[in-house]
Amino acid sequence: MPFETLPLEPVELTAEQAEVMAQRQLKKHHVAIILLHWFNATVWLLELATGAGLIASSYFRFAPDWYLEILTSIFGSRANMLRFHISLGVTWIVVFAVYGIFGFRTYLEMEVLQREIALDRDDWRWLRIRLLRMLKRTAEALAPQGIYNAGQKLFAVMIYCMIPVIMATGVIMAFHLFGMAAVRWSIVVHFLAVGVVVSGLIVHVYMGAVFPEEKPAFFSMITGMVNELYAYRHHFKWWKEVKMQEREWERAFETGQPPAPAAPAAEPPLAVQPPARAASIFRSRDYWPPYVAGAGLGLTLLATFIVMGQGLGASGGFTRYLVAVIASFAPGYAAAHPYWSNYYQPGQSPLLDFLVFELIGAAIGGFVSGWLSGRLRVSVDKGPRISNRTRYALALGGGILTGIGARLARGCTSGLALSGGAVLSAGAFAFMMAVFAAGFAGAYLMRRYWL
Amino acid sequence: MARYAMVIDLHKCVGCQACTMACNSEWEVPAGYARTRVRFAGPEGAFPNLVASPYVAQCNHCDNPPCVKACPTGATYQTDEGIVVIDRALCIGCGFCVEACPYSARFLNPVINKVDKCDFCSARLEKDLQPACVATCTAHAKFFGDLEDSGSDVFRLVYEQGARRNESPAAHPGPNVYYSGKKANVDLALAAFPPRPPRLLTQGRFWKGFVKPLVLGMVGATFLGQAVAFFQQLKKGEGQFDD
Amino acid sequence: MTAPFAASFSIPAFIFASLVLGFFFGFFLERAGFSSALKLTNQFYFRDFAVLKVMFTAIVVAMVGIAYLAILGWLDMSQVFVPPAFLWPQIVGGLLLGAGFIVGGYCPGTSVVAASIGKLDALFFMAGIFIGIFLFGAGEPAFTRFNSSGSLGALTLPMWLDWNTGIVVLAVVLIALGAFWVAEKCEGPWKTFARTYGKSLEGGKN
Repeated sequence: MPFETLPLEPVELTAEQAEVMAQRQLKKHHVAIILLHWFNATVWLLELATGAGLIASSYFRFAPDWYLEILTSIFGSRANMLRFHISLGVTWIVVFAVYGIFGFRTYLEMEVLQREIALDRDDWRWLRIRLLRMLKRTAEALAPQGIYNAGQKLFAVMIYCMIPVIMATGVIMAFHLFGMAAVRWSIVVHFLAVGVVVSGLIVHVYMGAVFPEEKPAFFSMITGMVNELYAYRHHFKWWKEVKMQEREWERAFETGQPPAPAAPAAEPPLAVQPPARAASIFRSRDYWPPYVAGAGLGLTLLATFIVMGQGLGASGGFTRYLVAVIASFAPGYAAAHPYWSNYYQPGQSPLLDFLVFELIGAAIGGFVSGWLSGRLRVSVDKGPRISNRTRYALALGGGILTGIGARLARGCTSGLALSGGAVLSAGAFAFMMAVFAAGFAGAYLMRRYWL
Repeated sequence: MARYAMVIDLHKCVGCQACTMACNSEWEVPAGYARTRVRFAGPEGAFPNLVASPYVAQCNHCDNPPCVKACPTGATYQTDEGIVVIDRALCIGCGFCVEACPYSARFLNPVINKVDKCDFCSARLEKDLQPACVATCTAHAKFFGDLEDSGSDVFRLVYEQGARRNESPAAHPGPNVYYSGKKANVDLALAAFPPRPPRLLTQGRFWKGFVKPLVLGMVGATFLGQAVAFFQQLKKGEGQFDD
Repeated sequence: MTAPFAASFSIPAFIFASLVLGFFFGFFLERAGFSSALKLTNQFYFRDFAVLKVMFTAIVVAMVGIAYLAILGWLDMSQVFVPPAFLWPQIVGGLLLGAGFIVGGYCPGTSVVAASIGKLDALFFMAGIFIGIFLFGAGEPAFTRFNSSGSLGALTLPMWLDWNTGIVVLAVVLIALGAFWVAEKCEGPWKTFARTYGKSLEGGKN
């Protein structure tokens, strides 16, 4: 045993310790990962080779003539090359889908991704030092790393972003989905996404196969094992985790008590901090800064205008649900009524409207957001001085006022103020001012209910 | 080596669209689309000097075809005989060529989702048959042949009787479909259906102006960076790094 | 092809697009904290300016984006719905909605996301909205005249001011930045107070 107690930070090893550690092997990769890696590598190699050869016209291409000629002679014809490219691509998608759905799902799980791929503070520090060291500006030691180092993580993040894009655009082109314009954009985006991955891939291949320091990493992708010395030097945090787990099992062996299966770091056997989990903005329990959430909302609103030609809204959707209910009980009344007939004509569903489905989407979106941030809970929002029942009555009354106000104004805070504001509607700004004026004035009267 | 061309006598053509029907049934072109069709110009002028003319719109099998340059996959290409053909197995139906064609001769065949157009009935030529439209033309107004064969009808019509083609001043594609007949007819028909400048779509400009340089630059830069690192590694010797 | 695209959608594609856009709408509303009536109403007690900040940020982002796309010719503004201005009903409606907001604690959109994460009061608020709309719609024939008074058509600020759209966009951006500055100034004292006396700034947070 090279260490009596586990070090908190990487320390200089004695020659003897290093000797022992160099002999011991730790398991790094599951055999399924290794197989998938090499399958993926083969697919990439072949797809890149054929893909570069498929772009042939003088306007688009970048590969030289001789390259196209060699490829054409290998495949017999360019059409065969395209068939090969498409069938291999589809195989690739199917293998990944099977892997994701039935097999080793862990790499699609948020938890695992956050632990293994999300970059934490040490990772950013590592990247900075790595860069400075390459430029010979510093001799500082690299920050300790988890099972994957920051460079590998960055590459993984990029891969996770780009692969769905490559798959989707590939499928669009292969099966001519969504029309000619979509196919044209797919050509461009497919090429761009592949270009991004390839520039990362060059670094990845160099680091994995050529760079001497990382040779054990290369062999671990064949054997699945790395020696402990390499793990200690290059992936200290992971090494520490493995060691902690080992010790817990050893202790369990001595005491006859199995270790708690969950969270080996929950009760660290030594004075070691649990491995820092990267904070994720999506899992954060805090609300987002208003400017960030506002920008997100603004982009959604922009997308809505681009796609739908109208803005977001809420009260219009409520109205349509209500009219649908009225029309199902009394279609004659609804069709003849001067107001309801704006929304209902016999033989035409009042529910076939953007806002109707958008509200369902909004409920799902709210739910998912609340779920990710642990805010799902049956509760009542009220001031400290009032009972639940008072709050319900106020909510109902406020709702009635809001319903009337929204219909009178032909929109609510989302439908008129937000969407109208974005297209500079004069009415929207007048409405907005009225809302804030009434809100601030009413706040004084309502203070004992809220504060 | 042949150089195929087609000549249409606008004075003889009666505009019956038999060529369209023959072509559509020969090549299973879906209803509502056509590889060749007769269009009409005029009448113009005042009685008794009225002029009206048919015009046969189809692929012109240009010498220097803009569509071939625009096709990303190389599915559209020119054969040695100067015929512009589409390899359906390579076509992905992106439509760059549709926009590039100055004669609007191309369209997306919605049944097979590939681009479709006249190919001078290449498959019939191999069997020593005339193109379907020529064979079927009720007025014998369509002629097809080899411009390098001085005994052919097209040679006579083009080089001896001055048949004219619908050249695009913007792109100079060099069309190989010629129009003959009364001068007034040809003048009117060519003026009524001028070729449009070849269009390159946003996506194409985006590709050439932004995406291609970006990707090549990115890949080149990382490659260069790694090459430099590799040479440094060689210079230092591997022993330096060994654990 | 210029935006908007919805007219060329099939019904399933239309529904799918609506759901996806709605998803992000709800997601960002919830992320902003608008699923909490306490957080929302704190705006009116000058304690938390999130409502103002989020709304104006969203308006500015969307407005700049729309103006940009329209100038480049990618968005066909004649196909974009601009809410018609009915001056008097919109002012009165705004006052009613503002009153409903401070009494009930939500507005229609936020009540949906609040209900989706389990706020019972939001369910009552939603029920109230339905009742309110029903009362309004059923009674609308009695006050049609008022409801359509002050009609100015699809009037926009650039039309009303007779300014160039770009200048109005710039002006709105500047006004929004000014509003943010004021908001940060006003929030500061309350935050100090809350820190000192340990009061929760963000009501309703678990």
